[in-house]
Amino acid sequence: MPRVCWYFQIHQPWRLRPYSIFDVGNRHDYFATDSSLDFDNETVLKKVADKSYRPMFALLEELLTEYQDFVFALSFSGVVLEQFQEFAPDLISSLQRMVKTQRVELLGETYYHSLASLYDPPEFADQVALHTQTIKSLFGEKPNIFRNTELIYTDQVAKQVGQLGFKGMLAEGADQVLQGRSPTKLYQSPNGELPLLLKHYQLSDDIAFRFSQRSWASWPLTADKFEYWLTQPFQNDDIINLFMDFETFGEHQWESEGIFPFFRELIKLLNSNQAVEMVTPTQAVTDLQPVDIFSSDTPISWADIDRDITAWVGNPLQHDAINRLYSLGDKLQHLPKEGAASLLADWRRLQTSDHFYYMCTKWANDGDVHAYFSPYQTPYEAYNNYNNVLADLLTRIE
Amino acid sequence: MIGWEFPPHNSGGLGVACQGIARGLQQIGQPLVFALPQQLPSGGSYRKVRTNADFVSSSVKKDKSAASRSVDRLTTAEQAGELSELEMILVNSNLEPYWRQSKFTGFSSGDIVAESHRYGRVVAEVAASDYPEAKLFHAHDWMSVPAGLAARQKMKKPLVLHIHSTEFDRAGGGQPNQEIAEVEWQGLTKADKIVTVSHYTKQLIVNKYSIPADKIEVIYNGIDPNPDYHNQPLAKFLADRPVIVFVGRLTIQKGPEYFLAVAKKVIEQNKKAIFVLAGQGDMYQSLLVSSAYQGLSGSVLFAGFLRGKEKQMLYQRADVFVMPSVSEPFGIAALEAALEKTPVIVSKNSGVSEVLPKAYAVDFWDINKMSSQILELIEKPQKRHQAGEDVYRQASALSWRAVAQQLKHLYEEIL
Repeated sequence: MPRVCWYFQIHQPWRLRPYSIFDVGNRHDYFATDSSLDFDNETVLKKVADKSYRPMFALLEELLTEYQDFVFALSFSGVVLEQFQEFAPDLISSLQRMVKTQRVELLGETYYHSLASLYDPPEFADQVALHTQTIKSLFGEKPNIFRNTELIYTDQVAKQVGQLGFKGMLAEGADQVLQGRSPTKLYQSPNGELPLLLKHYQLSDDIAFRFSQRSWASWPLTADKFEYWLTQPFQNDDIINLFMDFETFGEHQWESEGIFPFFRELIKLLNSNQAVEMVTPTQAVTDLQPVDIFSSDTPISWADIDRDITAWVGNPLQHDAINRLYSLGDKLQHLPKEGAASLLADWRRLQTSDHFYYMCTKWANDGDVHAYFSPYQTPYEAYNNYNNVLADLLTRIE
Repeated sequence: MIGWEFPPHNSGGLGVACQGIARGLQQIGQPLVFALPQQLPSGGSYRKVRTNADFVSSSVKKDKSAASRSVDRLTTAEQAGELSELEMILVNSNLEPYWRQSKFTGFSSGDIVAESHRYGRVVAEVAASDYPEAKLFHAHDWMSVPAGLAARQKMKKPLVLHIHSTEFDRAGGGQPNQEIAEVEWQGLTKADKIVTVSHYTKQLIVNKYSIPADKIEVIYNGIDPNPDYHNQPLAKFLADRPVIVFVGRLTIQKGPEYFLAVAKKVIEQNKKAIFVLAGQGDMYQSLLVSSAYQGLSGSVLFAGFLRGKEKQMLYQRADVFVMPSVSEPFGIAALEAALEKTPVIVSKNSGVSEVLPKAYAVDFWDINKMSSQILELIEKPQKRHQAGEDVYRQASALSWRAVAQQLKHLYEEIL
């Protein structure tokens, strides 16, 4: 009998303000809110809260009350929680109520939604610990399963995640690693034997990307149809992992396209369907035995058609910006106490992967997605602004 | 006077020079009408405008109210384009001077040559119908050559062709565009007199276009005192870092990639050094990538096109100004930097080195030499101070009024 595991990721970066050379050495409020900007952090957060977080949180709370079999997993970056607390504290209360039901599992990740797992393992451990601490203090729970930024996976990262005490990890069911095997089984990493739940990207993306795409042969997607897809072909499979951005609901797929009623109907159908069971990641790794090794030395992720890390570090602009940033790690460890905390926080906020995503120059199939999420006209402007901020940070540290 | 760009709608030094010349001629009482191509939102073939702000008297008035300042300082130059009673003919056109720039990649040079001829016909017609009393035409650079020649032929009046830059300069050692070089050659051959902004350019025209040297008169560009912002607090920026600047179009002619190579070398020796490129151009994206590729993020910054107060702030803050042009007929930016007492390193292939003999003149490709000069200047404050004072003295002796007087003298000779 197939299990269905829902997991939603919530994240918003602290976007940079426009920062000119005349600001270098003058002001360090890189992430300041300023309502005159198109991509002001407060404005964006409030907009997404209205379109997605609030209506979907309300729906999830309702569905948890109505359907006893409905369970799911959530994770949020520390930086989006900071913004919830500052700009929309009601969202935190809603999350706390959901977590209280014991049917919502919170996953671990890096506080800063960073690529530290690939660039600075000790820093990675620090950010994971900081995230765990934040989740504990807000929700009274300690994450058990880990999801890395953008589902980035390497064997090395899995090893460290195991060492940090996690009991399982999420990864992309990338074809280049599965090599024809199905993502509908539990796998494990080669080193630490960490159980791995692999995203079923076909079915996940049917909702996350294709739901309102009129050119798609299966449009319009109904709950009936999707329930059928989930159950019929997978009678003998173990688990279907539906992992997606939370903003799928209301922000990427609009309310007017019927994404909310679709989800409500789907949960109703799955709840009453005896042939499927909805599970949390922890339930999944407890119930199932790994069937095979899933191994990759080179990083994979859930981004773009490439499912690698070229969305963040695929060109020289991205490589140099991120290398330069991480090269400051050592110096920051040896700073005098005074002012060190704010420097460290700024350094870490600059690690958020979105800054590098904006610099992506792969304008092939994924260009539209990149452009939609970017505050900048071009990836070159994104680099240019980041470059100025980097100059200021260097001035403060060196 | 026939031009093709004018502040604030300028992308480079040509517009600055045209404004300086027009202002200088007005100051010495030489009547003129200025024709310019400009996209007219209101449509129509052309429009005549007359600016009413009296440049000189308004600035003098301002200075009297600020009692501590000398009265001859001009303070309103930032209100670019606001010339006293300057009559302008704005011809509806999308001509812009530097077709190599990325925003014109949709145009071929042929489109622009054709458009320059259309612009020329309109200018000649307006001149004949509205200004029958005109005594002489003075055209600037190749895009106003068709206009100058058309007006000259239509009204049988002499043409002065003022060369600020040639296609050979703009090609930066690469292949000049033949269509454009042809327009230049036509203009150089048929004009009654040629003015160049330097001996460097005069020599180039003699060599490349086979024009007799005695047809060419050298009149260097001038510069007016920078506007005085000292009563406004100038923000500090890039504090405690040696700042080395490049100001110019980001295009092959200006040698920005040599500036990057120098940056790489200097930063290896002095990690605190910051290199700033101010300007736009077709090489912008490739320069960003090249800078990142060389590991210069956080040390090489791109300021975009700056004008007015921001540009001046950058010159003021700069410890060294570098102009590594492959071929630079003049290079007004070097004078602007010199007026802020910033030491200047200029390419030997430049006109401005003729009026700033105290500037460091280098071969644009000589990365080692430029790097060691920069290191010496940023590490020895005494030397830097002296180098700044030296070029300041030379630059502040120049003026657009003096340029205008030489031009007036030339007009009188021709007439």
